[in-house]
Amino acid sequence: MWKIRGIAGRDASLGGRVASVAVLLIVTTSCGGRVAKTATAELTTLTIGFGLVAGTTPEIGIQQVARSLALEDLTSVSVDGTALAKLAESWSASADGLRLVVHLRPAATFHSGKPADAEAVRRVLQRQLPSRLGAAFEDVADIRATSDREIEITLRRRSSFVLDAFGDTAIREAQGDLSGTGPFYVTNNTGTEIEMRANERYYAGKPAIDRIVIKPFTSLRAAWAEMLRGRVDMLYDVGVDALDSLASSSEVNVFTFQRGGFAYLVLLNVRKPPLNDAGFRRELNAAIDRRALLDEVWAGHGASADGPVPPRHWAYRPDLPRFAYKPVPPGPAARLRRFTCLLLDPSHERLALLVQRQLQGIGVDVDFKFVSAEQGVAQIRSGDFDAVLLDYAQGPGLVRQYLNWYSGAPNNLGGYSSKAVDAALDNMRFAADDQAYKTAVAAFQTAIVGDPPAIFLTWRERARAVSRRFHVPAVPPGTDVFTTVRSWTPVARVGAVSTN
Amino acid sequence: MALRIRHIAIRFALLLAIAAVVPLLLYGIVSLLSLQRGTRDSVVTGNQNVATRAAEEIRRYVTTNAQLLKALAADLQETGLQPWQQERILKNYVLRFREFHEITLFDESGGVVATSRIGAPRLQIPRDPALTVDGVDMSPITIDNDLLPTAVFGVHLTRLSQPAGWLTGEFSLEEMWRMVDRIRIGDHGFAMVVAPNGELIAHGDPDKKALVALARNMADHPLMPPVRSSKEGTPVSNDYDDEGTRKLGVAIRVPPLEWTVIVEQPTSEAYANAARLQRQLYGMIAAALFIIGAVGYFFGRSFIRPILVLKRGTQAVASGLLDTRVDIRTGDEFSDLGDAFNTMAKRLIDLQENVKRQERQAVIGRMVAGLVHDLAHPIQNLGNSSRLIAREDMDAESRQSIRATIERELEILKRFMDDLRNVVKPRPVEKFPLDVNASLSEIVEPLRIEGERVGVTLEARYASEALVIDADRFALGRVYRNLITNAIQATQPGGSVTVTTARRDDQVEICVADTGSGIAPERLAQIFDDFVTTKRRGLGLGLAISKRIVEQLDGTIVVESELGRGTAFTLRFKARDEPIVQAAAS
Repeated sequence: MWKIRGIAGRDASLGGRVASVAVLLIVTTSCGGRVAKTATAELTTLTIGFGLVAGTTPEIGIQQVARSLALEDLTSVSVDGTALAKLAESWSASADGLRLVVHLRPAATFHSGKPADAEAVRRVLQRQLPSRLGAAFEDVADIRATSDREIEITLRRRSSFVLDAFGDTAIREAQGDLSGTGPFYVTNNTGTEIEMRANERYYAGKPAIDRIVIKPFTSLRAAWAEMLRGRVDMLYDVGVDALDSLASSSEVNVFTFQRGGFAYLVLLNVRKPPLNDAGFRRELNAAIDRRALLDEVWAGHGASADGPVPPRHWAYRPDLPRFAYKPVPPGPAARLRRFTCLLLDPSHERLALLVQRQLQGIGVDVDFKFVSAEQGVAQIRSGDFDAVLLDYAQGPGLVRQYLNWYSGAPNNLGGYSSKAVDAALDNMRFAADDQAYKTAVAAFQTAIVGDPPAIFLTWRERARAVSRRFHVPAVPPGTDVFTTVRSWTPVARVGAVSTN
Repeated sequence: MALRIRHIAIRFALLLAIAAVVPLLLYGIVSLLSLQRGTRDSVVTGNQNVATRAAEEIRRYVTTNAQLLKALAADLQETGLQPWQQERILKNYVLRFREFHEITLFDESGGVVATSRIGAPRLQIPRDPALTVDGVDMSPITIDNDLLPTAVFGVHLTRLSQPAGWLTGEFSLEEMWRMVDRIRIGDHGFAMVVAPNGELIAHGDPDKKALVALARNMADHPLMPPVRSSKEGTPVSNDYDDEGTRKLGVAIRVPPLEWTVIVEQPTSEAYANAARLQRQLYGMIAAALFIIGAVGYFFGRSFIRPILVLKRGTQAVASGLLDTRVDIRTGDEFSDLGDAFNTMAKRLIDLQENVKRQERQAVIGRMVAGLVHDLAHPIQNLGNSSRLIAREDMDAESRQSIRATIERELEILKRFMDDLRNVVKPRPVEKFPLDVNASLSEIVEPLRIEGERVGVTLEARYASEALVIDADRFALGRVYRNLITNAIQATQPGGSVTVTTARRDDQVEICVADTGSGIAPERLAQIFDDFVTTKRRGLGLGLAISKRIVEQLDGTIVVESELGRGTAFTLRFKARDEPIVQAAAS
């Protein structure tokens, strides 16, 4: 039988960001009829500072935070890629793996008060699973609600990716709505600030925090400055420059975690020469000193991305071939190879310069060009690019790999195609048990290293900073502490914890 | 008046205090003061060194990077590199030296030649530098919204002595922040950097970085005025209060940037070692004092105890307990003294026994002599009279005379025996209210005749008021008779005996005074003792008996005498003033 595994997709991947950039989500939700407004001065308020990516708008940046609080997936994903119960209380598969039954939490309701019953969830799955699974959706024969709280998914063949996809399928009441089953609901969305209130009907109990305010700032550092000024209780992201300083503060707790399978990579458009040469792509990966990148860019925070599979994934095998730092200096007669790389986030500039210098060492000239996120997405979608430096979702569930690297997959933006990779991904998809799955993952890793679709750089460690005015319960190492915000409690003190 | 210290223990304690305790205390005070001053100076000097080193590091940090840029400028302007090569060099520099966020090469007209940036450069040529460091212009420090202090360096390039553009670098002082963060003294000592205009540009305390974010101006910091007026590179220090915490601060200016580095440390931590040493010194001095006191106490006690034992023994012997002995086993001169005391006490007992024996012998001798003397005459007379009365030729008159003589001598003997009996077993007295004047006159009148017979005038002066006492009429009469008779016997013919009564406060006073020969002072003390007499005849029991009677009546008798002038005996009794008592007496 399968091991319980899944993915987390709450943080915006490139796909999510691209979708967000392409579709500006402007949602103004008023919940005045649901909950009587009370004086904000009496409420426990958590103010979250969100440092924007340059080139993005405030609306886009803070929306993802609001989504993570308002919406829930059927499952969440642990650090090692295993699925954990969320809106789905439990699930089971038939012996032949062709029938998957999901049991929903009986007390779950949407923010509107309507029950998050099987039929509502079925509709969401029907709508979202195709994009979440890509071609693997054809494994799904039928999705139906067999009772108020039970959904049965009938498969045409075994598909390990279906359960993975549950961790990337936000259950919401209506398309484009932020009304979900999460511990908080949106009460005000001005575009430059989002206010949320505690969901009193939340099935796991009303959060101790009454109110959340999400504020965008022009950069991570600007958000950090506001936290130092006492106007922000939490930094959604902590820049590496501020990490050491905040970590030594007695007023702030810093929580680091592996960013759910996100890795920095240079996505290559393998349709364009010279990137269409697998050998060249191997050379590019061999020219990267990943340890130096970690040290000089991230101050050691993170891990080398020496393969496509997150090193903490349960199926990862450290004995498999990996990308190693073995630069081959160009011969005296070697011609200069050159390509252009888009840079969407100026905060990645230092990373880009280092990559550029390392590739120069093997006689490859990478011309980095800064473009806005909007423009970058447009170029990517149209294939009008050589390479692009991205913070790319690679997991933690391996369905992401399927969406990224399978021939013709929706996120296969570089036009990559490899029979070996496709075969390995299919084996993962149809694996009958954990052992078969692991074998397929090993084959996948080997295939990618042999024919890399990108220059894999680093798995980045992320950090959240929370004021010690809030008590944050302990989480397993490597887990995102923000997933437990429902359980945060204000430390007993007179007055409100932040001023707004 | 000089202070007199009566107790040897106190003297000993004073000796100990003067010899040991006072010097120790003085030493302790001097040590503490030296320790305080010395450690404070040491701590201040240490912190000053830290501040000086920090200032030097910061200065070097800035000037080194300025020199880096200058070196880069030299490379770029002299090597004739292509723009793409220059760009590569600039990028390498930015990667190599994190302090530079951006380095851009401008031509003289301000056009961008090469930049380390991916995309358009953000820098501009610094037109109004705040200062020049080694030929490198430096713009004023600014704190941007990202909270980091930045400055722009600019090197004016020349080629063949002609202006050839600018090399500018955006200098991030992040590394300075990290350096300032690393400056620690103890657990709570931190450093901060202040710009010339007072703006806080770095703070090493993670919890106080908010002050930088809040654009705190430190112009009113207690150390800013003195450091501004001090010589560059000379640290100033002081203690001051900061948000309720007492701190030791050291400030020093950083040449040539005119920044100020301030290093602060709570005094509780800065002087913790000194405080600990002080406490240890207190403890040691207290322990030494305690030990000295304990040793002094036990030693002194062992020294003084024999003296006190001797003192108690001496007092006991003086109070009559001659069998008192002392036990001193110190093995020194005190032991010898104790042995001598015991010997002396034993000798005293022996002497006392001797004296008692001698006194007994003297008393017996006197008594026997008195008895022989007083009994011889009556017995002689009785013998003679009995022989005479036995003669047949005696006539009746003669026989009657002899019979009277026999009766008179027998009366004398009887009285003699009564006195003896009274000495051994005093007769009980019965008290009744007694008119003193009346009872006295009963005795005085008959004795007046006796006095006239021997040429002594007996005079009585009675108080005009009634004087009533509780007394035994007969016993008191005997006292009167004894005193008056003695007075008459002690007075030469022509002299007088005066008897007076008077009221003295609540007492009745009866005085019998004579103008006789008086009593020698050395015999006056024993005048009331048994068997003491100044007469040729008698046992000397009269005054003893009289004193005993007076004392039985709760009165007193005193004697005053002067040789050649006379003697006065004064009786005093408590007066009874109650009318019913006075009525009964009369």
